[in-house]
Amino acid sequence: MIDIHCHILPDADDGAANYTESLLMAKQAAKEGIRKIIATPHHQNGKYRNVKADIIQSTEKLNDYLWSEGVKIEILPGQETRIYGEILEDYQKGEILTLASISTYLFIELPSGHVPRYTGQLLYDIQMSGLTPVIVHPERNAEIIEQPDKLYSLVKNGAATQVTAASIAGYFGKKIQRFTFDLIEANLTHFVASDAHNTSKRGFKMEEAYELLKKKYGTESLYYFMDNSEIILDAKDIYREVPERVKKKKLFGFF
Amino acid sequence: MQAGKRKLITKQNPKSPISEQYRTIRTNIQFSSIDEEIRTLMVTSSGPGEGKSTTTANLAIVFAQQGKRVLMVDADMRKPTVHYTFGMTNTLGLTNVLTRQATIEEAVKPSNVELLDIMTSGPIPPNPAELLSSKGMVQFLADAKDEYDLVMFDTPPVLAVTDAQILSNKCDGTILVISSGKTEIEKAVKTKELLDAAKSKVLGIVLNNKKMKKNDHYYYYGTK
Repeated sequence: MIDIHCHILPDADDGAANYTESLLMAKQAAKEGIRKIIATPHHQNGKYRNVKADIIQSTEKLNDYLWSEGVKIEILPGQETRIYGEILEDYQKGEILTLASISTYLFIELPSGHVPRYTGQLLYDIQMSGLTPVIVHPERNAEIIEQPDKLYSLVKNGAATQVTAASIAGYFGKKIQRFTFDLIEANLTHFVASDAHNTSKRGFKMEEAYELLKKKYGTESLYYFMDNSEIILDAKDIYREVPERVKKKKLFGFF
Repeated sequence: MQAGKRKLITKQNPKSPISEQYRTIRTNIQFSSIDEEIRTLMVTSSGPGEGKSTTTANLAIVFAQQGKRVLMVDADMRKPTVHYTFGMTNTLGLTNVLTRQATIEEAVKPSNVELLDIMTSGPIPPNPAELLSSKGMVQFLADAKDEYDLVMFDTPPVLAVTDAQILSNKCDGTILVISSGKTEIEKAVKTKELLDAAKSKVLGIVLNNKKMKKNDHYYYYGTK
């Protein structure tokens, strides 16, 4: 199992505060059956700045440490970048990191409350430079929950998305869980990842989420998500299904 | 993953009566032009979901099966689907060629059908109509004709946006797909008017989704 979204780097953001916490997280991940983790510290979200060179260096150090502690998990460099207008310029400058550094997939975090007007244009520009934007946790964005068509048009226009394992498992509440399933059913999401910050409130929940996916949608769906995370590490192209609009639920529906 | 996979009958089952129908359309297209051969062809419809993309793909395949070098281009820059049909990625395509960021050779991918190459739409631009009417498009058509015997375009619906009209003006021929029991007569007529106004050459209409009676004679040969 591979986790492509995790705040495991020590003292980088609001995730692990030090090496001890990183170690605890790695151990919990190993227990769930995760073999590789892409460390994706926040960048440009108003509070944290983590540029490419620092992340790569910190990842190497953490790998050495985990190895010395006998934890068999490989950490790869990544970045969770808040959407901002100069992202491509900074990518050219070498500050921005794609997933696992070798792939063409770029994490984009939207503000939690809304989708900026320029998003469509910026995601187009990103694609024109040969990268694929991956919108992280769309199921937790207030505007997308209100107007899922916004996400549909971004995915139709080539963006990929990643939902949080804990959202599937229900740790963000019933409403977000239901909406996450809506996104999966409308082929609007391509990855499941933990977005783990610690081992208590914001843990991995990957095993639980995959188990639930398998139960609800069958093994084909399970492999679709698991394979896509693997494919990123091979720097190949992910699987996609034709995106559809989220259907409005009937008032007296069964769900 | 809930939606059914897009299947291409002419590739999977060339002996099917449906494939035979596509070959009939192919011949009709070839016979429709006496003076000069059709080298650029686009397929469109009045509204969405009437079968443009399926028709384009299957026609491209039967032309390739005939030994022609065919390039199928996804010019539906509103809701591109060709990359799903052929299981490709859409990171590089027509947009990149029209904005001169890539050459045709770079943007084209071979399909799993011999002689058939595919160009997906590429990233969806904010201004598809402007791109399609740009000088880059004229240049692209000229260059593509040097490389291929036939260039086929999948396009957005005529009544929704102006893209198809723009493109039909630049193509040697236009095929209109009409879905039996779905396309309204007024809309079909309006579509034809718009295409005529754009000085396009409508070669004919493909009637899609026609219900077949069980005892229709087509099944006489195809089955084992």
